[in-house]
Amino acid sequence: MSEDERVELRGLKLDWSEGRTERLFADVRTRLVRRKLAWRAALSSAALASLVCAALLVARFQHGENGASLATHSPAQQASTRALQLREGSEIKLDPTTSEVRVLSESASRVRVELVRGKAHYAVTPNPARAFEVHTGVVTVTVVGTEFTVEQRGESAWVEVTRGKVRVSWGDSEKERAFVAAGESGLFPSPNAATAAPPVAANSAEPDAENAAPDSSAARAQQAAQAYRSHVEKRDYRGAYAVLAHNPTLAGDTVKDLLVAADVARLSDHPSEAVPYLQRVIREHARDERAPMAAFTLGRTLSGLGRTKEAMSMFAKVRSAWPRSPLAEDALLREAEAASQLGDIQSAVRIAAQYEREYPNGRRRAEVRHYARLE
Amino acid sequence: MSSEPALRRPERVDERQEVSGGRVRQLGAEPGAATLGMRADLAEGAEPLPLQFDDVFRRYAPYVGALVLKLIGRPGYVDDVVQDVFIQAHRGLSKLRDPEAVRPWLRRITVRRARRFLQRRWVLRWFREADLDAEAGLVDPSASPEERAQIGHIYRTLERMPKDVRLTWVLRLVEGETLESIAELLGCSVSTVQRRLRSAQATMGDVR
Repeated sequence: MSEDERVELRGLKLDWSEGRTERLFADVRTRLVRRKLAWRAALSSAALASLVCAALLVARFQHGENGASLATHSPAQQASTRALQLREGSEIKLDPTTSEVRVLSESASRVRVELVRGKAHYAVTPNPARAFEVHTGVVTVTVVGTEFTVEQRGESAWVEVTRGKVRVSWGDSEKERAFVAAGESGLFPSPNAATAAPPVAANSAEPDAENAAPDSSAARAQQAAQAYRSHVEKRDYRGAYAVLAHNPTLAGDTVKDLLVAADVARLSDHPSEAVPYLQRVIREHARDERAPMAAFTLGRTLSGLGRTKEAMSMFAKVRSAWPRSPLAEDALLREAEAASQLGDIQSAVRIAAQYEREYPNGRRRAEVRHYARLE
Repeated sequence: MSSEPALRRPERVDERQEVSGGRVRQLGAEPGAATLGMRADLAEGAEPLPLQFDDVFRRYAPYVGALVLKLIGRPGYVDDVVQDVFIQAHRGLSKLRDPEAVRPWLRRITVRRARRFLQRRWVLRWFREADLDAEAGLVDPSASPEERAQIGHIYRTLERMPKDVRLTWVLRLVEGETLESIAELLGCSVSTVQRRLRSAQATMGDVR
């Protein structure tokens, strides 16, 4: 670009003095200092915030550790951690938002835990020299080495054993005790027994407490029972299960009630919840004509849950306990099927031979032989 | 305004010198005889030390002020923009070693700051401040009526132009920057600069 093309702004006021420079320089210096201070303040704030966050995290972490430690080392302290590791190696898992466990005492020979509310799963380290007790209400679960779950359900306790065997007691007499083995579960005591059988519950505070209960709770119980029946009549099993889950006593005690409760649980996609009802039918009403059906259904349910070995045992029980039942032949077939699934071909062959003997013209012969890999 | 004092790099301080208040005093010499930033010689092979902000500000503040006034055309905001330029320059000055690079570097910062200021013109217009001080203080009292008219016409016309078109015209016709330099300063292509320049000239007309 030539000089001719340039525009010279001769009239522009471009005066600049040294004083203006110094004044501006002072202003810039001030702004720089302020900016530096602001940065320092921001960094300090950030550092402080980080420290506070770190302190909170550490405190939270330590609280969690202390929770377990307190429960371990200081009995009677409430443990509210998800997994509580006891000093002797056993572990208690619970949801702290809904459940509460208190370690009452812990010694080399005895560990006493109280389930204050909710549900907790116990993985007890096998130790014949040490008794492990879980107390909830009037129920005491005593174990030597096993894995089980205890849940408070009103005045009763729901006990489900995953491994080993536990003794459940709710009084001093023999009738107030039960053994629950691996794969079994149940409500102890049953609602009727809770008011009649245990001396503690029957003769002392419990009946009075029931009598003194406000009308509203009785009304609510009645409403729940009506709703449950209504859902069942309409075959609305999901609705019925929702009511039953909040009112476990609605399951009842008769064979019919228990089978209905099992159906409610199974048909509302809660097959594992059906197991204890069916077990109760077998245990408490073994002579009822519907008991083999309950046992067979239990076998099918356990098989559906992938508990094949337990299912196989249950089908075997159908045959052995109720050999004249119309379901015995099918139970033999299902037992062979379970053995095949477990890869226990030897048992499958043995069952096939038994089927040949008992049902030489049986309509299930081909299937049984198939599971035994004889065809 | 055009008389810029010589800006020199600071020398390395040796055992015969001491540092005091950001300046180097030659030991054995009279205080003030040699100051950092005013020494002429740099030992060969020595790594140059960072330029001193004080010296850079004092030398280039008048240049930056004049450029800002030409670019934004509002004397009342010149000092603010100049401060912004040097605040930004303060952050990068420590990385600068070559005194010759200071002026183009400050020009680049000044153009960007002026552009940012012009982006906010709508706020000024909304408060009607643009009209109030568009010409106040812009024209030198000693200017002739013709010069006065020229300045008034140019900046009234520039006010109607988009900021990039306006900057292109000032940088090209007032500052005499090359098209490549303008493209670099405004972050666009040379053809865009040419297009903006044609557009500005069409609006401005003959002002010489």
